[in-house]
Amino acid sequence: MGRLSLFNSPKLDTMRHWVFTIVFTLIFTSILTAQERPDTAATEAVDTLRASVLTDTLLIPIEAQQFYNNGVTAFRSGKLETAVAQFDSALAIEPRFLSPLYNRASVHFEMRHFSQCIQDFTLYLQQDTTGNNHANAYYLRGRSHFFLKQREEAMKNYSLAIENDPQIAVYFYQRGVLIFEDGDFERAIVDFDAALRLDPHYSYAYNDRGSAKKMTGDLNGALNDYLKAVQANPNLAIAFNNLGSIRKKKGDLKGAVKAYSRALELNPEYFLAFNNRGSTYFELEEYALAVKDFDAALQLNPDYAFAYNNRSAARYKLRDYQGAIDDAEQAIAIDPSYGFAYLNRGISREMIRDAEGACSDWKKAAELGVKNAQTYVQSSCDP
Amino acid sequence: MKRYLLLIGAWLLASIAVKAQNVAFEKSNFPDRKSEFKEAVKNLENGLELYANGAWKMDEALELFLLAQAFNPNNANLNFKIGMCYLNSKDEKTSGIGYFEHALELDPKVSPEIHYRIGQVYQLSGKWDKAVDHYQTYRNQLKASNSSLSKIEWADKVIAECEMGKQLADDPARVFIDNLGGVVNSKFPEYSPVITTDESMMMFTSRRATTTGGEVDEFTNEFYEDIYYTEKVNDTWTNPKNLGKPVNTKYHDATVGLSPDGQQLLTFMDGDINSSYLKGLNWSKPKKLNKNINSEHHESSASLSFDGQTLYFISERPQGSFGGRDIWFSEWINEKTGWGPAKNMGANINTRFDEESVFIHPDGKTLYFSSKGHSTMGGYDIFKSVLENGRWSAPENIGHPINTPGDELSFVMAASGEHGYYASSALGGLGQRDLYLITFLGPEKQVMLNTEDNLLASRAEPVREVVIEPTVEVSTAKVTIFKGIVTDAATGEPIEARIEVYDNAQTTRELAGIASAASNSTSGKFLVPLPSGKNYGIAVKAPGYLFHSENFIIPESAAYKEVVKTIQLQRLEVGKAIVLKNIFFDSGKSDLRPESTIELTNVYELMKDNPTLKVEISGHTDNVGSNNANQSLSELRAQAVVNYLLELGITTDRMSFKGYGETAPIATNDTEEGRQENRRTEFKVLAK
Repeated sequence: MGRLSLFNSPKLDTMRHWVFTIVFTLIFTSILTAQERPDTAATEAVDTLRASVLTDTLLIPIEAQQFYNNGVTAFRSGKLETAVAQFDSALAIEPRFLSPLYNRASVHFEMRHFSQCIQDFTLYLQQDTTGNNHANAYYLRGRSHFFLKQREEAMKNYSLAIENDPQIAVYFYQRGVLIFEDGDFERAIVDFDAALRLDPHYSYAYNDRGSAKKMTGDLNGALNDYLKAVQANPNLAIAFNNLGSIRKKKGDLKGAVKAYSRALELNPEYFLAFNNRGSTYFELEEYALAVKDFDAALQLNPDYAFAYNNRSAARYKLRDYQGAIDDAEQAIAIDPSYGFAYLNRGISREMIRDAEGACSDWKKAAELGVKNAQTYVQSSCDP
Repeated sequence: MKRYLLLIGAWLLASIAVKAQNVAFEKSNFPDRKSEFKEAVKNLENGLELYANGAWKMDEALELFLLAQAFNPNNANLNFKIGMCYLNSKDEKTSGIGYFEHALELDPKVSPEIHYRIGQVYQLSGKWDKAVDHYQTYRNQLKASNSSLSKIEWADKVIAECEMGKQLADDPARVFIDNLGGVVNSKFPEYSPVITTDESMMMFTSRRATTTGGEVDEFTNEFYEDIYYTEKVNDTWTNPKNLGKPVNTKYHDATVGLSPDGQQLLTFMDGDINSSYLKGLNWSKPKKLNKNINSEHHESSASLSFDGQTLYFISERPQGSFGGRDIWFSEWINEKTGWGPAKNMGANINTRFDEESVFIHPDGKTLYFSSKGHSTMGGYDIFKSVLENGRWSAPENIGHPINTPGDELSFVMAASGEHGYYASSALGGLGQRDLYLITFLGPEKQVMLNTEDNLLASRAEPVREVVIEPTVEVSTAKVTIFKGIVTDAATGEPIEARIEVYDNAQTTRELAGIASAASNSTSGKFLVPLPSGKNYGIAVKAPGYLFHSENFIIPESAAYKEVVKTIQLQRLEVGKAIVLKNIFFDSGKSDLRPESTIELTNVYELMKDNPTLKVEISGHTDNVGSNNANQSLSELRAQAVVNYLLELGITTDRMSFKGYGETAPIATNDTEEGRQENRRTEFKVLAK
């Protein structure tokens, strides 16, 4: 029996199968986890680094292997610069040793050294004949291009990543996001669909597909997707916010308030959600509650021109015309090209009988492209 | 515990004990105050005597009642009567609420009307819920006592008024209401304002000390009514002047209506409507309108349509009426017959209650009037109805704060639709009724909000919600005011001219004639309202002058506009020329369009009335297209006009035609407006 029999035994086969499954599951889980986190380079690099550790270490001088292992240890303990130096040393000894090259690229990504990251992955992809990690290399190179605002290159690399491994949801998801940002919502939906086929619990993909559907005018589709997003991740504040906005758009104002309130429970500093809930209260003609929410938004973000403008509108409805004028002025001070703020200030000025000021505001708002302002100039201002 | 129960019991007993009792004016109730009692009874009796004369003596009764009440504050009947005196007063209608409430407390059966009267005061105070409570109690009492249906219906009406009042007060009209100030208003009553439609002049009725004859009406103890006028100079009303004789007399003379151009005044005298005309600087003696308008019953308010062809008026005549005062209208037949038979405005406008103070806007289709019958918040409210597809729309309350639970009457609206005028005593002011300017702000302007979302879960950057601005209703009167002065082109002197307005869509003068106005002989001023939606031809004519023509094509959707022009009439002399602005051709063609008919008729009549007149008809083009083509087109067009006149019987020896092409422009060819002016047909006198 001895070692040979052990290696060839059916028991060992079963064990190998389980080890492979555990390692794969770890990688897969970590990718999933990355999908649910904010968009940082670091989390994506960690996963790819782990994957690369498993690649070949044969026929490599022992010193190079040691430097490589030191690099991996340094990386894991957060010493990124040391990790890069160790991988450099490994590559100085054996430039054909591709694992440190791959890992250095990943660490550069983590360090947001996107140009070096691109350079290393390009070298890696030119030299590696196994094709094992190409999908991830393309993906991270794509991400680097994205951060460098090289959107076309990013798109190409995402597509290459998908070509090399069409089973990874995040590749489709990120390409979908890019396509969404280019304004092609129908095509973005196709990628989000693919991501969701691969990972039916992918809350980001549900959220973003909901947004794409919203942009195409498919409000019911959007509503369903946002609901699925919050089912998949009941702690996703932004999805609750988006759910609120789609309900508001569909006229379900009370439902909207509920969803925004949940978003605010999850993230009490979510000033956007305060602004949105305030705007919903405005539509519900609950102007005092609206003012409260705009107050909260402004406490969290004192430079939030929208909240000043919106509070101005709510104060106008409460017949606090001077308060409304003051708020509109704050909004204008933050953003001097804010057409609605001029329009709203004009509307309140009219009510305090400052016809000249009102007309001057409406003229300015009209110059800034506010259509109704032109109508008000025509109907209420002397020629 | 026992101790607390005892305390509560004692407190309850005390409350019952302090509740006031109804104290009759009997000697035995005031054993220690004999002489005061005698005085109080005297005041009470004298007060009752005055009170029995009705509302007009209640002011005097009140003074005596208050003296009696100071002696005996706890007589239910006296407190009730004091409340009634206040309710019937001019300016203190709501001041009696305490007396009414006290009367009710002293004796819930003090009067079967007690809850109704308290309801009235609360309604006048805008305390809608309290008013409804008392009206409801009153109604229940009526039902329990099997009172007449009409009383129950009336209770239902006043309850509905309160509900309407609450609704209107919760959603006030977007207006500013301003007292016209101490220059126009005085401590005496001012009311019934009437305006020229461009708001350059206002007339109104006042009962001030400068009334003609200086006498006081013994029934009201106020000066007799007289008509005053004020003019607007640099946007400010000038000191009002008495209109003087012959319009004002030593008795009541009141404003009723004014034609939009201010040249015809309608007055009220002895229950009839009279008419007076401005000739130069003088108003003619008011003359009663014919029997179709003035019946044996009371006629009051009246308003002339923009074209002077329809008179809307208020009459109390019972036959054909829906009850009380109704709005009637009559159409102008001709100078000889005058106004035609009166027709009731119908059930859409009139109710079984009173309608008053009618005013037709110069847009020709918006009627304002006061009514007690439609959905009012109390008393007369002002309503608006629009003529749509031949039917008057359901009258719409023009809202609070213009309307109040009191009476709102004599509302008039400027052509622009931005300003209205009325009289009110509900707003404080300088004394009794004052004149007020209402500035209409139009539909509420939409404030705009912005929101944004994190549409993409993996991106921090929020995406702004695209806000689509809602369509805003533009509120503006659909009428163009054409006004100015007619002068002699040579001397600049004002001329009294006739301004004829035609609908160019019609081909005969009878059908096309819309209005005929005159410029004032002294000032030369004229004003013609032109409601949107027609191609108007205007001919300004005066004896011995060439007529002047104007054209206004005003689409249905056109907003309010004022066109001010000095029209210089050319004397009918050799060498003088006029542009015929209502001669129309299709683009690039020389066939006369039917819309030219009326203008051609005017030319024909001028030729016919001046048989020795010889003229040249010339055609002109702009500079678009080739010289040759323009030359030829202008010639053909001039010839078309000549041919038309020829067919009507003007001989060829009196007419020549010439095409000038683009060689004689009168305006720049660089703008469309200029090119339009250059494309024209002219008429020039060659011999007289």
